[in-house]
Amino acid sequence: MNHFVRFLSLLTLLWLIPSMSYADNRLVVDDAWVRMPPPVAETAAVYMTLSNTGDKVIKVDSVKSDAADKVEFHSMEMHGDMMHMAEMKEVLIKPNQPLVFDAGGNHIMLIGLKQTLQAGDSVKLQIKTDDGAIYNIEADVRDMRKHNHDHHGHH
Amino acid sequence: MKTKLSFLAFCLLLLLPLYGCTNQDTNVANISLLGSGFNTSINKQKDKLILLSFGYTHCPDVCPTTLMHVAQTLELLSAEEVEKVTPIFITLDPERDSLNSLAKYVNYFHPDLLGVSIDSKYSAYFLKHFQVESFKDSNDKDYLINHTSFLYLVDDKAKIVDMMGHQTKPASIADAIRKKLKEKR
Repeated sequence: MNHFVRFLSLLTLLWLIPSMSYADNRLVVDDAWVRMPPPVAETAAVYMTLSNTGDKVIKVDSVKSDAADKVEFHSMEMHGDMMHMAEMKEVLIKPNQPLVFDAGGNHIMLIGLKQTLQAGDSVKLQIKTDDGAIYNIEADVRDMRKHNHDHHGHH
Repeated sequence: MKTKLSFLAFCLLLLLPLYGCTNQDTNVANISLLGSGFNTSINKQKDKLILLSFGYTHCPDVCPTTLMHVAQTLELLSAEEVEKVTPIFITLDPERDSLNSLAKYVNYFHPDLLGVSIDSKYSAYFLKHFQVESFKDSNDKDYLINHTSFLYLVDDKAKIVDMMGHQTKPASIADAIRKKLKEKR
């Protein structure tokens, strides 16, 4: 009986360990996509939502992609009539405050494209955070010319 | 006789500033806009309404959005209305945007779009007329340009007849165009 109780305790402990790791910081990436750039463009914008399911702020250490020489996070703000784009020097994702990169706002920039991006392609990005975690993301390339049509006014 | 001549000269001198004014407006309409295999200007778009935007091909978000809206606007107009509109995209980055790459860039959005570069001798003057401000964010080779992002409706004399933010929906841009076309009749 003693052995059995010990065995059960060990099993319970082993079962608890994975659930304990869920309390660690985890970045969740939603709806990652790339705006298909015109064929001559050397830059492209990537959009996604980064959510922090943990209880400590996550800081991004680096981001890279096989599709481009450089990847940067950019914020966009209206200063009067001027749309001001600036590199985000620090990217922090706070618990319960998703960081959104979306059309017309913040975006992740691929600079120095290594290949032409076509609709349906998949761009791989890798984000490393200050807690040592590595996130491999796949963002699908979307041709936005085919989106947002209210109706066809063909003549 | 001398008094009369002096008086005449004096009158002409008074009129000189007026001549300067009209000359300046005409100058903007005259300024060469260079495209791949063509050369145009605002006053060559005789009796047309120009749908004008400014940007650069290294722009990841604002310019593609603006041009997408321009393209969708053209699709919303009737054949008769489209005939009266010339969509033009002017580069703010002549250092990197060759005429050839401009042509390919705008063609991606719509075949009617004209991608042009302002004759460098007059670009500051031209941009000032449209209150366009732009500046590089760094001296790296991958510099970005921060710029005003309005869409303009312009007549063939370079008069700005309407101005809209780049996020204006195509349906609203089309309505603005129709309104101006009606006013011209």
